[in-house]
Amino acid sequence: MKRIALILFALSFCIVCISPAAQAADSAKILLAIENTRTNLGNVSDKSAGNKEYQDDIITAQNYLKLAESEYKKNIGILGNLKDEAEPTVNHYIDMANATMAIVLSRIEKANQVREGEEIDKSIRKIKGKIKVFDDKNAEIERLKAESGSSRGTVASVSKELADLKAENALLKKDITGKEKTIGDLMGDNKKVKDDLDGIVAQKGVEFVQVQSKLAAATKAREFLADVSKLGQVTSISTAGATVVIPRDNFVKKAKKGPALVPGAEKIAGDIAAVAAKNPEYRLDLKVYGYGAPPKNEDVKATEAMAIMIKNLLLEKGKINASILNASGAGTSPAIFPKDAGNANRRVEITFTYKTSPL
Amino acid sequence: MKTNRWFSFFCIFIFTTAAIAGEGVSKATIDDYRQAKDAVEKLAVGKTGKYAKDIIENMNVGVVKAQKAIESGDEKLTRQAIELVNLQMTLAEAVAAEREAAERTVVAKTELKRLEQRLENILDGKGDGK
Repeated sequence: MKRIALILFALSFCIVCISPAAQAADSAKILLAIENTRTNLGNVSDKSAGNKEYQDDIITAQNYLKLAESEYKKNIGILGNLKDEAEPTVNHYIDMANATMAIVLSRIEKANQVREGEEIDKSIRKIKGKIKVFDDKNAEIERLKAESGSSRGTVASVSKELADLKAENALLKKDITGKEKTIGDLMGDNKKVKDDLDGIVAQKGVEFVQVQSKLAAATKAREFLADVSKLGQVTSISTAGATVVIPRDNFVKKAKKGPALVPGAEKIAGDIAAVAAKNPEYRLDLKVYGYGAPPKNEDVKATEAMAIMIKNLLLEKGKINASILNASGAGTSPAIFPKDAGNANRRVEITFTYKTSPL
Repeated sequence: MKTNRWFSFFCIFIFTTAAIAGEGVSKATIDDYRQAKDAVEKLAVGKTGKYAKDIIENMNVGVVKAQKAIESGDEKLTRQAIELVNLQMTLAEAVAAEREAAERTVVAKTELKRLEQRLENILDGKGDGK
């Protein structure tokens, strides 16, 4: 048993002795890792360029590296190899240092990316600004094109409308020409008709005037006759006038010194003057007739005197113009009434004669 | 008999050392381990997991290492693994932020290049392709 125990102890010793030799390669790796970490830390430190933001992390990484070195140095075996139990710790510190550096690098890189991104954004904004100028111009061009298109459309529409209007105008002109011709013809016809009508009207007018004139004359003549008939007995009527017979006694009577006017003579004279004034187109011929005996009272001389007396009465009282009044004595002839009519033939005949024939 | 005593002493030394190592992880360390593990899991499904997948994988390796260290009762190794995992979390976040920024930069560069080309085309009278 003793021998077995010795063998086991010897084996254990061998294992212990051989083990560092077997792990000598691992120690080299660890040393290399430490060296790499140191180099990396230098690079990171350079990259951070003294930026305070990363200073703490860099110091932390340095500390981890120092711990790794310290742990390594502390655990060097008698053969110069790292003890097995120390290896994880050394590796841990190396890993921690590397992780810390990776954090720093990542943050530096992120900062660079952000900075680059900002620069790019700045460039993008600048380019966008430049492009916007073109975009705006293009938009303006498009707008103008659209406007131009719209204008072209409007122009086309207006042109079509104009063409339609021209066509319509041409038709209207043609129509107007036709109508003008028709109007011309109609005006010609109208003129002719008018002329004819004027002729007819003129002719009819003349006739009308003539008829009217005749009618007026007839009316006047009728009224004249009516007036005259009121004076006495009308004995004759013609287109030239009328003769009225008034008893001579209504004007004059025998007096001691000759004939004298009777009281009603003035009224009769007034009536005659009124008829004469109403009908100025007539002139008056007054004749005084005698009849019977004594002849000296009935002859021309005597009746002439009576006629003058009645004329004067008419001139004075009736205000008759002397130029239209003629008075004369007719003596005893001719008798117009039968002998048994008494003094009826002693009369005054007043003849109203139209100055110019009214009919 | 003397030999037996030496053998027994050797065996007790070996197994006692192993036993002490297996039961030596403190509760606080285990709690730290769990927290670290949870944090890694959370990071894996977020933006960090998208941009720093390789770091997350390294962290998972570290978590497994810590778990094994716990199982082997190695307090020191466990703490070291957790410490490294925690630092790697910070690293993962930093790398994710860096890569996200890099991605944005790439997008911006592409946009810049496109705009530069567009502007060049406009200036050359080739028309605006957009």
